[in-house]
Amino acid sequence: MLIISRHDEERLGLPQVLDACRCYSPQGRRLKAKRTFYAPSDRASLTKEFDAIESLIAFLNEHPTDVRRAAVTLGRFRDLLGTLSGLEKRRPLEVTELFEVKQALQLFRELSAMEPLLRAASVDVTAMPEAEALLDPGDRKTIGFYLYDEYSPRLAELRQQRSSIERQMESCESSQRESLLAERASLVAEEEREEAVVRTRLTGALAIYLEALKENFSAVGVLDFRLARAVLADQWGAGKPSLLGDGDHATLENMSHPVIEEDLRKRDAIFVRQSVSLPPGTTVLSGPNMGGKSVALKSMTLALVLIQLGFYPSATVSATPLYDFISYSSDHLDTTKRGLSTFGNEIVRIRDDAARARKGRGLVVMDEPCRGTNPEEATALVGALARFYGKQRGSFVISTHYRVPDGDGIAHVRIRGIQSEALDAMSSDGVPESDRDAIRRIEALMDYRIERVEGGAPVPTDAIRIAELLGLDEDILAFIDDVNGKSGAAKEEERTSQK
Amino acid sequence: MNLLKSDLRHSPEFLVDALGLDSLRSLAIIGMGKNAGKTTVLNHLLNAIRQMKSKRVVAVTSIGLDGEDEDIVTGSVKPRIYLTEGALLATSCGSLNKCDAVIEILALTGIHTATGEIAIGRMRTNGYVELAGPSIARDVATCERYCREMEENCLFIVDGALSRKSPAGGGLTESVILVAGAANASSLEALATETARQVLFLTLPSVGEQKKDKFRESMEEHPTHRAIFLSVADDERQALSAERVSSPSERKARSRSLPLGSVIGEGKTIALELRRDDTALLLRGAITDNVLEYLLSDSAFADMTLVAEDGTRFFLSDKAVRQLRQRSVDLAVLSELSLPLICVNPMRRDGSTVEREDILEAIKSVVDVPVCELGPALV
Repeated sequence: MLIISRHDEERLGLPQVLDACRCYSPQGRRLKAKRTFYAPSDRASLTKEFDAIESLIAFLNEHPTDVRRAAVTLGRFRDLLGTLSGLEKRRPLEVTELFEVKQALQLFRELSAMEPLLRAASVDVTAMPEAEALLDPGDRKTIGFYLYDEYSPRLAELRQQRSSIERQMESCESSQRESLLAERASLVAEEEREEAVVRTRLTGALAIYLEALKENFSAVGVLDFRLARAVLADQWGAGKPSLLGDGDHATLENMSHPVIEEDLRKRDAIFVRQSVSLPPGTTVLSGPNMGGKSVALKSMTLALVLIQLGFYPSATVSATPLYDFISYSSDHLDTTKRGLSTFGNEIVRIRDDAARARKGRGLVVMDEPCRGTNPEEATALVGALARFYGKQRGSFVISTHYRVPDGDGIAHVRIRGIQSEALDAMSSDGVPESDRDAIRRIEALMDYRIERVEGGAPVPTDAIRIAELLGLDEDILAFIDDVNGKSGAAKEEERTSQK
Repeated sequence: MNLLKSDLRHSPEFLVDALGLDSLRSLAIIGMGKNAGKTTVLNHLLNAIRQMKSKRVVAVTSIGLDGEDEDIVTGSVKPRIYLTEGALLATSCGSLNKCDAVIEILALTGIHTATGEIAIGRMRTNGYVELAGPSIARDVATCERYCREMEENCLFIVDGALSRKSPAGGGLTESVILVAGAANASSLEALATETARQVLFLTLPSVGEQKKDKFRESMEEHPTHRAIFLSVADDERQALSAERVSSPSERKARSRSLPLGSVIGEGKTIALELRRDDTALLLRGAITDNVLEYLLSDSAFADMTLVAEDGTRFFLSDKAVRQLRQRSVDLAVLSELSLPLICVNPMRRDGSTVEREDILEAIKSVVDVPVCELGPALV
């Protein structure tokens, strides 16, 4: 179960990733939209998905032409839910619906011939020659469909009679015209009745194949969705995830956030891949401002969410236990929800997550919880949360600027950030040309790697330095020094030593 | 089916020759309003094609609903469309049920209308059909593509309408037939005046190649933008520096566009964007008096070209046309149309008729395009 608000899903980049996973058939798209969450009890099914995706990645690299051909075939499938429902209820199908079924049968035949692909995808699509013959009684092998004369001698006879009258009308006297038109109308009416009889009979005959049709459509959806995930995994250079047992650490190596990585690539910037290990209990992520804590949290959460949705994550190596639920929250600034205040809303969320964590093994991720609360109480709250989750079976990951003391079940990791020597060097490089230039220079100095910290993590203290580098008003900086108790002389000395 | 031949001039051979039906790829029939007589003209055309020595497959569709037994709006009985075996049609699934021919479904296009998805079918017997085609230009083009997949050399005929909401034939078809019916105006004089104005729009010349290129470039870059402005600096530079071809980025810089959902109702927004050095304004939608009123209220709207996608997109009164002339605003189109024939229909809305010679004379006196009255098509 995913406990993520729509806004947080957007922030996480989940809809964007699902969009990038391109299914060609309506059946594949529906399966994707279902967002099946593989709980710990679904381990076998998930393993099967990953095995199939693994085989498909190898297949698409060896046989790209076959995959393109399959994509074209998949793209020709239509959504036949209404037609199948009609078939199930024995509603006489319309001619256009019978055409749709005929077209689908032809596509099943095409796909069934792609045996190596189907084997790789662990999917069975079977040709249905008997059903096809029903919709092609003259063995014409055409793509189209109409109610052929072969379905009913009476229908053929009526059509011949009508045709004969139409020929007479072409050369008749105008006095005869009205009576011929009336005769034609009568034949047309009878023809329509006979066509209805034929459609009813044909529907009954096709209904025998209903289950086989459903199975084939289902298989098409599975094939399409597995293929789409394989293509995505291949694009990301993602490794096959290993599914671990309860109590194991979740590990992600060289993970990226595919959406942010793509955005950076468009700006000619590079996403620095990160590696992280999450033990059961609490993991506290700290780091400087602009150090990418939120991005790191998003990357790891998205990766673990994707695994439990049956996708390879954007990481070269991934291994994780399966969680009963995954909760991610960063959207505490929206005060309009349920009429609660920012804080009230956040506490309700924390309360519900804690209740779930007592019952099941969850992954609870919070990006800077209690950020709008007074620092003393917020520090107490965050510390208490860390201790609470330190004793639970699941994993609790937070990024925070508050100090969280060491304790049982509490691990500290941090983003390395900028070495103060590098910041000093940047100060001596002169005033940046623009905000963008300043940000780029800071980003270039930032070491985004995540490292484990033993003992309570120190609270990062680069915020004021970065504010200074971004050109904050000197008076404000002076006041900050006053508040921090630095004397003018000390400050002057510090600045001189930097130069 | 046999058609009544009023005289030799209205024989099938006349239509084949006048319209070049043996080689024409596509044609739209545009009515001046409801009950103009488009379906009658279509039936005459279909008959003419059937009698041609070199057999051609026709593919027909309509802009919106046509060929139904009864006019949904006025309640009057309407002529039906008769197609013969082998013809292709693009019509909605809902309308297929109202056709009395045997139609082989060849494709379902994914284009949805109020009466269902548009299907491509082939007539397996002769019979009466109801056409309910797409309502937007892009979808009509899709239908043509489907038809050409089945029959590359088919004659694609669009039963169109002059409507603010839908494109008729311009840009989609090579040729256009205008149908003016006595039902479309209160008097023959009024019909003649309106027809003359419509002919003016339908025969407008194409905007110059350089401007056209620039408009197309801007349209490609901003497919949803409805108003595109070209400024003088750009033209001058190109004229002065024939050897130096400006780079795409330079050219882009000289055109501006507005992201509007529609032209209708946005006259004020468009007028606000006008600059004195603008040389051309392309409006991608219906250009009405209302839109023009705002443009004319700005003195910058002068000595320039007002461009529409095609001649069917102008819905301007005589007064508006006069005002444009006074401001030296020329009218032009992106896609020029060929208007080889005007058909007139003497039937009034109440079923009575005006004199055939009178309506022919009234229209001929105001236009420089062949005019004919084909008579009823018995189908």
